[in-house]
Amino acid sequence: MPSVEASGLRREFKAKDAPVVALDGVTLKVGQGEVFGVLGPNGAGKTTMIRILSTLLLPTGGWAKVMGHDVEHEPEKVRKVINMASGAEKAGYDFISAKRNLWFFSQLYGIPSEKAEKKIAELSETLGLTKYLDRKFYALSTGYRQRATIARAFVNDPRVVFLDEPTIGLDVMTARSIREFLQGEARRNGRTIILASHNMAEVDAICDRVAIIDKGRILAEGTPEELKRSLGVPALVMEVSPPREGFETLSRIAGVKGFTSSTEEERGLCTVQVVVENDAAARAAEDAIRSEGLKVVASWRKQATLEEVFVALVGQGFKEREEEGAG
Amino acid sequence: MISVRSLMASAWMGIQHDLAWTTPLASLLLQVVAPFASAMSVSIIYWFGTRFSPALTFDAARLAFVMVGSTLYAHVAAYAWVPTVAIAEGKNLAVFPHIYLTSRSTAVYVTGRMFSAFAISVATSMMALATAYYVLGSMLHAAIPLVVNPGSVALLAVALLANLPGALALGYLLGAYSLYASKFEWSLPGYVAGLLMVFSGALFSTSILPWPLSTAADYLPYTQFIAAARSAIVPGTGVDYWASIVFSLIGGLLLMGFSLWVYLAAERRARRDGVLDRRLA
Repeated sequence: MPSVEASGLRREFKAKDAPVVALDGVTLKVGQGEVFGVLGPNGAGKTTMIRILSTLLLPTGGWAKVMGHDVEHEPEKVRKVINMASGAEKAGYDFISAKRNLWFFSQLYGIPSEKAEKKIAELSETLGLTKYLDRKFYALSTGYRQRATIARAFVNDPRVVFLDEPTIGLDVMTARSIREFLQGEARRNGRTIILASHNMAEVDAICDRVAIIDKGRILAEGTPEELKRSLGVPALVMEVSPPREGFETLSRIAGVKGFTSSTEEERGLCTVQVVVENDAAARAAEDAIRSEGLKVVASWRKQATLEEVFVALVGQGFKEREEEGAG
Repeated sequence: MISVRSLMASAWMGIQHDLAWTTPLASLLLQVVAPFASAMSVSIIYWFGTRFSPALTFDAARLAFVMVGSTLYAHVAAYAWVPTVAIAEGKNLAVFPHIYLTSRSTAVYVTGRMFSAFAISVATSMMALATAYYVLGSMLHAAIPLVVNPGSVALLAVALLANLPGALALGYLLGAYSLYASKFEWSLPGYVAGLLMVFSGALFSTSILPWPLSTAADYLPYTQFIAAARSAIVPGTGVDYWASIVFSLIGGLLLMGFSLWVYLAAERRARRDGVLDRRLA
């Protein structure tokens, strides 16, 4: 039995002009003990999907089951086997200690106090939180508050844990220790972890499988390696001088799936990374840059990363998307 | 079993919220201020009225009537609004959706919070009443007729407990609104408190209200509670204590059943509309 299963999952939100479709027919299956990543730009539908699967929100179409229980009709059964945490929230009562926060939630789950204390001690030890357990929640640093939030998400021994950007805003070491903890929980305890993130490196590092989602639809799904291989040929990387913005001509070239660009003012260069279908498209992209009077200082081919897969599937660079959003 | 544990933990959280922000004794004493101010201000207004209006003469029993009524009103106001506070604060701290995910309904949580607020409010209201009794008696050189003995205290305790379902009912109704509110949720309890002051017989008899308001006011469990509690410690009120207790309890239970249904329906709708985890402005 899959831990999480959804078919044709859809969610519309009412809006003044027309309904906004946040999730548009998502179908997926996640196995037990799997770390499943959900990648997508802002507004892609990641959080909506997690809210539906965790019973915080009802779908307007399709169905979803968690550990065999329907999220719409059996929410109480689903809640017994899940938990969730969001990196952006760092949810907790400021005026009590981290330990008492964790204890409070354990009691809401009906865990006997002694057992709860033991579980809190175990989780804190694994997450490196033990020294700070007696500090009031507001007095914890961002990293330790986040560790406490993650600990809360595991306090009831959930079979499925939904995490939305669990390492957002954290330093490298804290983020790394949280990732190790999550991997350990999946490997050792067979928990299924659904991880929504913008962080490609994180997803690449810890997820067994990944779904790339945009505009409420799953565009691709597979292991990180499968997704990277799906691009076929290595990406083209060019260092272009003088630096400038806007390489829209690239998107008009046949065989170019997407691109990103970044400016390095100090070096007087612009690095353009182009996801291509074939070698001919790579050559055409390089020619197009030159034809615009720009100098290609250096160029090389690079094995695709998850970010490039994402760019190729979503269809445009992050910068362009941000501008579109701002507009 | 889970619900009992949740209820106890929620009550514990309420105590933490209300008392742990400074030393427990200091926060408890600070919470005496509101019911004490309520008792003092209304009593002094009454006293001034009798001093400067030829139509009124000072009556210590009347002073006891308004002093006890205004303290009990402040008591109801102190804990019936707790679900509003608990939900708003929970949304602000982002804990509310996680509380929702722990059980069938957040009603258990808000009930636990109300129980703790009830216990604190009983303590602070009684401290306020005792202080007001002493201060007003000394200041106005009046022998305020309060009956304080084990029997009257027991009757007062029964009245306070009989009001719990009614106060829970008000709490669930206001809480149902808070599930949706993204701002100004604080204002609704204020309006309801104003209505309660007029219609609960806290300061004057409901019989002076025009019909049908007077009859409607008499059916409110809060009116019956204040009448019963007052008659427990103020002699000569002419109120049938046990009849008021029964009315308060039955009215409160009926209203609580309805309010809980409204709350659960609001919760289901909030889930459908996706506002359970909406942060507040």
